[in-house]
Amino acid sequence: MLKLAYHLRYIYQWFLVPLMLVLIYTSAMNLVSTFFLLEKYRHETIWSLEHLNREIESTIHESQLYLVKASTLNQLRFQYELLWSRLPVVQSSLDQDPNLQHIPGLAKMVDDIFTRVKSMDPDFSSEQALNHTRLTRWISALKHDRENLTNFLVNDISAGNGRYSRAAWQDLLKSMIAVGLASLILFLVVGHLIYLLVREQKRQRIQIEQDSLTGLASRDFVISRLEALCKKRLDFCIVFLDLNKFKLINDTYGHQAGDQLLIYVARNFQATLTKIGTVGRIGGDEFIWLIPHTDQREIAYYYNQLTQNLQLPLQFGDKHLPASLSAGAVQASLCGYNPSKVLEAGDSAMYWAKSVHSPSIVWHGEIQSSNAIPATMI
Amino acid sequence: MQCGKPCLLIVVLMMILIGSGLYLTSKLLNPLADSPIVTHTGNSQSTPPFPPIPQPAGNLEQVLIVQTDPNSSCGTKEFVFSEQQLQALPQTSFKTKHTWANIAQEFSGPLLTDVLKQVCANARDIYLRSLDKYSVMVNFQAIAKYQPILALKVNGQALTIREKGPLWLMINTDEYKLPPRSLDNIFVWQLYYIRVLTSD
Repeated sequence: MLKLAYHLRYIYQWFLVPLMLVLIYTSAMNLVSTFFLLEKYRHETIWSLEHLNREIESTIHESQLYLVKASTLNQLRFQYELLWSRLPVVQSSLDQDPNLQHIPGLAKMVDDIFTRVKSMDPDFSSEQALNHTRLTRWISALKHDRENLTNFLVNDISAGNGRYSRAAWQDLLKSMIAVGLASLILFLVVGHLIYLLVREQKRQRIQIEQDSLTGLASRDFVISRLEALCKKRLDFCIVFLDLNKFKLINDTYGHQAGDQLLIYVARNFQATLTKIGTVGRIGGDEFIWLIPHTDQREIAYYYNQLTQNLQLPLQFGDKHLPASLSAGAVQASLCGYNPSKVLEAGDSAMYWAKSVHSPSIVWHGEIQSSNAIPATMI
Repeated sequence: MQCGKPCLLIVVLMMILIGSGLYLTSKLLNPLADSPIVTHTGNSQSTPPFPPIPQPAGNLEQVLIVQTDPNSSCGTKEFVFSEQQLQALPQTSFKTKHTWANIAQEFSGPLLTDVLKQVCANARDIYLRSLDKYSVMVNFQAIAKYQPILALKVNGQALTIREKGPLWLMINTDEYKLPPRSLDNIFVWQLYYIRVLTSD
């Protein structure tokens, strides 16, 4: 089941986009070929009806010439044959062009013309001279047919907003919808893939920037923040925090107790210290508190809050684990914005604090001014 | 950048896509290209000069008139074919679909090449004219490879004027797999006049 899901995911990621591209391509090709097919139909339809129209006109003309004896019967017969030869062409046009069926009355009118033309066939095929009255009546009927045909041609077939054009547009629209749908699906798929990518990137970023045990910032994240601030020469403070006797707790109660203690401390950091800065875990029981300003009173205030909170020991099973910290701080501007010097100074201040069991933050400047190294550090 | 199998896959897929795209485009849109075969179509009576329609129509002694232009290398020639003369030439027949019928029809008649050979063997541009005054100028050398015939019969029946006779120029579009409707302009029906405009 899992394997199937994996395969489906694989297909989704690697094949759906090309597949949609193929679909878009084929539907676009379909659109283009539909367009040209419709153009050809239109051309053929107009062509065949226009030629029928012309042959009707020529026949009327030739008949009138015959009636005034300006033309021979043979010439009229020949013209009649030409007129007749247009009928199958128009018929095949009507059969092939689906859009012509959207024009009501056209089929009936064409039928009427065919019947009219064919009605004179016995007269023309007989060897006798034509009956002038019949011919005259036939001509006037043909004139009427020609007007009808012209009307259809002008109003319904050639006109841009005629029924024929509208039917053709419907066909084109259907092809366009296919292209649109395929494009829409492509956009959706690409959008979803981008969403997955962004989500994955976010997840990985959190993994890199967060310490997985405590949920505090990672070492990399804090150090890169520190370096970035140094580069911009924005003054800031860092406070090195170290758990006292952490190794002892680890050795006495086990790693699990140690881990619990770290989590407990981290939670307390988040309740106090992170209000004005970022806390990152940089080693086993070492933390850096990075504050993007230099208000020592405020820093001391939050640190006091923390130490007060930490007076309540962690309940681990039936034991109480005490958590106390040593803190050494430094101001970046006093180290010339040199990241490694800042870290070094903070570290040494913290060691100083540890050695003298200072309950409050020891500032790096204070060590230098006192100019004394505690005996334990030597 | 490290990118093994997926990249290869994408490259292969893109190549397949582009290749099939090019193939299909040329296949589907082939007839759109400007045809070198038809050089001009029209109903104009002025260009080029043509003899009046022979009277009476359907005269068996005068089915097809072939003339050569004085500018062509064959000089001024005229040849009038009767139906019998056309029938005496080697006959070709084939069955093909075309625009004006729903089903395939069998066409038979002499090859246009054989007819032209009688007058001017190396004809290049020819002018065809039908009884209904349709005319077209065709590059004969471009269509010679499709073996066009002057059909005298369709489905074994001699063509009358009513059925687009007496001659209907037709090509076996099915055999040569020509795109449908691509050569409709040169399938002149009621053909009665050919003029060789240029020749090699």
